[in-house]
This record gives sequence, structure tokens and C-alpha cells, in this order.
Amino acid sequence: MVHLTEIDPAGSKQELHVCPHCIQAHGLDLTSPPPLAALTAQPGTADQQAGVITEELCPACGLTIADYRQNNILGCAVCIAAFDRPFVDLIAKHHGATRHVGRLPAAHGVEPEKTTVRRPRRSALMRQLNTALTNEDFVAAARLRDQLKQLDEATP
Amino acid sequence: MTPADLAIRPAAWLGSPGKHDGIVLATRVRLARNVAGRPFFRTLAKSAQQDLVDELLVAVAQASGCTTACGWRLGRLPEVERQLLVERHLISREHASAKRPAGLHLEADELLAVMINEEDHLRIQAIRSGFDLSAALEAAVAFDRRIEAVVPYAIDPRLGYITTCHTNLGTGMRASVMMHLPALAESDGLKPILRALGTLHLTVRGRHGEGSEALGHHYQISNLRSLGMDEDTLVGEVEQAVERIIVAERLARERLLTHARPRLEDRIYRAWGLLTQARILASDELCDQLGWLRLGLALHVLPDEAAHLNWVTLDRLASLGQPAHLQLGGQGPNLDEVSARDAFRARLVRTGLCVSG
Repeated sequence: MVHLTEIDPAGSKQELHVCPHCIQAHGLDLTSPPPLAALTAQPGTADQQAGVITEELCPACGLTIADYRQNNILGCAVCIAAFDRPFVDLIAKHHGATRHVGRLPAAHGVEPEKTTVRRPRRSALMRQLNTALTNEDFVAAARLRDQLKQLDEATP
Repeated sequence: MTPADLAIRPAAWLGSPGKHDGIVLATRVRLARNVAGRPFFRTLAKSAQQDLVDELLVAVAQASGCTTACGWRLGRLPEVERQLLVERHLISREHASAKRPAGLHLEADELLAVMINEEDHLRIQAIRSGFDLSAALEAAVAFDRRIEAVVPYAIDPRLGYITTCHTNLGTGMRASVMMHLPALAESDGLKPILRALGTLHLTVRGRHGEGSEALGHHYQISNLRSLGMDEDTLVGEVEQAVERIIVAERLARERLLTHARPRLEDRIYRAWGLLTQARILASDELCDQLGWLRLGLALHVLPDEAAHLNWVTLDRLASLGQPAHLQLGGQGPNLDEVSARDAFRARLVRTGLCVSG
């Protein structure tokens, strides 16, 4: 019995316990493991040296997460699910969030009104009003004041 | 219409000075979209990319419904025409120089364009004169709504619109404001502001987007994040930052007038002298010097002989003096050569500023 442990960059661990017959079925070659010196002298993990695939591979287009990291261009939409955790980590690091909250096409079950109408927010209108007052643009200020009033009346 | 036909008129979105003394030149909203079930350019064969580009040119034209809109396969355009589209901010530099099939749909008013097979299958962009992100967003979303009726978009229920790069996921939106900030740059007030923008998840680019230089003290401020907040909130963040920068630039201008007027006058008067006397004028030099004249006009600091100067003239020269514009729209010999173009540009500017050459 051979015990293999894979740890991905996010830290999640996966264990595999295989018999000699299954080693061949998995395409693994452990008959001549590389010497310890070679492992430490060359880049790559012990798993990579031993031929174990440790990085995410897109089944649809063949791109790996390592390929993606080189120029930040996905191969297809399936890559996202295939890269899973490492990709989510990249997203979280850049956006500080991992969930979309903006508009979506109407075909995706969201009311068209909610997806397409830009609702002026009170804070944005207040900022514009302050700017208009600073600029002594009183015509614009009056219009913005009326919009704020309408918004307040429409909001329960 | 061909891109060359655009070369004789200034870009439609130019409309200085706007409501902010020429500090904000234009605003733009871009939406990145991809077609459901289709690989991205990276893993798509070139022939399949060409098929996709043609398919999308047709679909976008159908969505537009505008009979005067144009659709071009970029590969069939001469390099100079692609460069002209870059100069007019209708396509990115990457889109113009890509070796793969690519397309552009352009509405007749030039205020809405769709880049096809740029980094994403579709990049819808609405551009407006001055500081008007709301109008740009509304225009982009309205066009997006029409396209989504004929093109199924790649959507992830959790991540929103799927884009080729994780930095555009979610809304796929980038809201940009092009600003002219000479006083802040001159008074060293710009660096701390640019640093602060990073902490606000905003980014600063040069005049022609990513990797381009801030020629003539022109900067583009835009959102860095696109996921986790809706479009209104993202636009609101950019608006808020830009309003603060406008205030800072105005204060910097007042400080220059009060405490460094000789230096300010020197910059502006030199620009006037150079542009009205130069016999050879490079494109970058024109951009830099026109920037100082814009500041002089905004602050009413101009030599007496420039009393007639107006914003329309400055916008026109900034647009038509660019290399591809001269090459395609100029009436002179050998304008495909840099030296001939520089001489022609100098004459164009001298004439434009109402000084006989």
C-alpha cells in the first residue's frame, strides 16, 4: 500500500491510499524515486517530480492555474470552476469580495426593471448637490434638490 | 464611412471646458462581456475567432438597429486607420495591434463603441464629454440590454459576468474619468493623491489607458474592483474621488496664481510662444504645450495676443494634430513621414492659433 498526500496552495489536504495495482492504473511511477538531492536542487515539489498532477487543469481547454497566473487570461468560462480555490483566492485578493451583487441579464431570472434602471442613490445626489452649491450652480442645485425630494417621497 | 472619414473632425466627446474649468475632459464606462459556451481568444483557433468576430459584428449591428452605425474588421484596416481609432479613444492600443481577428462596432455619433475580440469577446464602451458618469453608465447599460437580447452572455451565478481576467469579474465594469491636472502636477500635490487613490481601490492610467504616459498632465482615474458592489456604487466611488481631485486641482491652481504667478505665467507664455513660432512640432510636444494653454485659458492667464483663444480651438488642435489624424486628414505631401508630419503640424497649429506662418 502506498499513501499519497496532496496539499494545494490554499492548504486543503487530499489523501490517496493505493495498492500497487492501482498505482499503475493512476499512471504513477514510484519504482525509481528521484534522489533527495535532486528534489532539493530542482524547482518543483516532490509530487511534481514524481509525476503527480497537483495543479488545477481545465478539462475543457487544458489551461492550468499556473498558465493563468502568467498573463491573467482564462482559456474559457469552464476554467473558473476548474481552478476553484486558487482562483477564488485571486478574486478575493483583488476585489475584497467573492460574490457578484450588480445587474444580470434579464434571462437570468432577475426582474428587468431591477437590472436595467439606474436608481439614483441619495448619497450620490447629495454629493452632486454639494458640488453644485460649491460651484454656485444654483440651477443644477435646484434640480438636484427636487430629485432628492422625489426620491425621499418615493422611498417608504 | 471609413475610419479615415473621421480624421477631419475632432472627436465627438471633446467639449471643453465643461462644468469644471477644463479639469475633466471626458468620462467613459466600459462593460466587458463574453458569449456563453464559446472559448476565449487564448484557446480559440484563429479561424474560429474570425467566425466569432463576424458573428458578433452582425449581432451587435442587429442590436443597435442604427442604419448609420459602422462595423469594421480591424485586420482589414490599414495600420494608420487603426491608429486613428486609438487616437479617438474608440479602441485600445492592444486591440489595434493584436495579431488576431478583431472588430469594432461604432455608432454614428462616436459616443458608443463595441470592441470585438479584444481581451473579452465584447467590450461595450460609452463615452461622454465632461464629468458625466451617470449618462455614460446609462448609455452603456442600455446598449448592453439590447445586445443581451440577441447574444447569450457567459454568466456565473456567484461571480456575475464572466471575463477573461479575474480583475474584471462581476459587473465587468470600468468607469473612467479623464482629467487634466497640471497645477497639482506642477506643485507636487499629485503624488500623495495618486497614492491615496490606491487605498481607495482606484487606479490611475495615462491618456491612452493601461501603460500609457500621462502626456500633457492628462490622467485617467478608474475603479480597480468590479465585483462585490453594484454598478451604481462603483460609479459613486469614482465620482466621489474625482470630485475631491477637482477641488484639489482648483486649490492648487489658486495657490499657483497667488504664490507662483511668475512661474505659472512663464509656463503658459512659453507654450504660447513655442506653439506660435515652432516650425517643427512633435505630437507629444503639442500635447504638453496645449495642456499649458488649457490652464492659461481656464485661469485667464494668457498673453495679450492670445486674447481670442477659445476652448474649441484647443480641442480641435489636440484632436487633429495627432499623427494618424494628420496622415489621413492633412492636406500635404508625404504625411506618412514623421518629419513632414511634424512640419505640417507646426503649420496647422500656427494657423489654428491665428498666427500667420
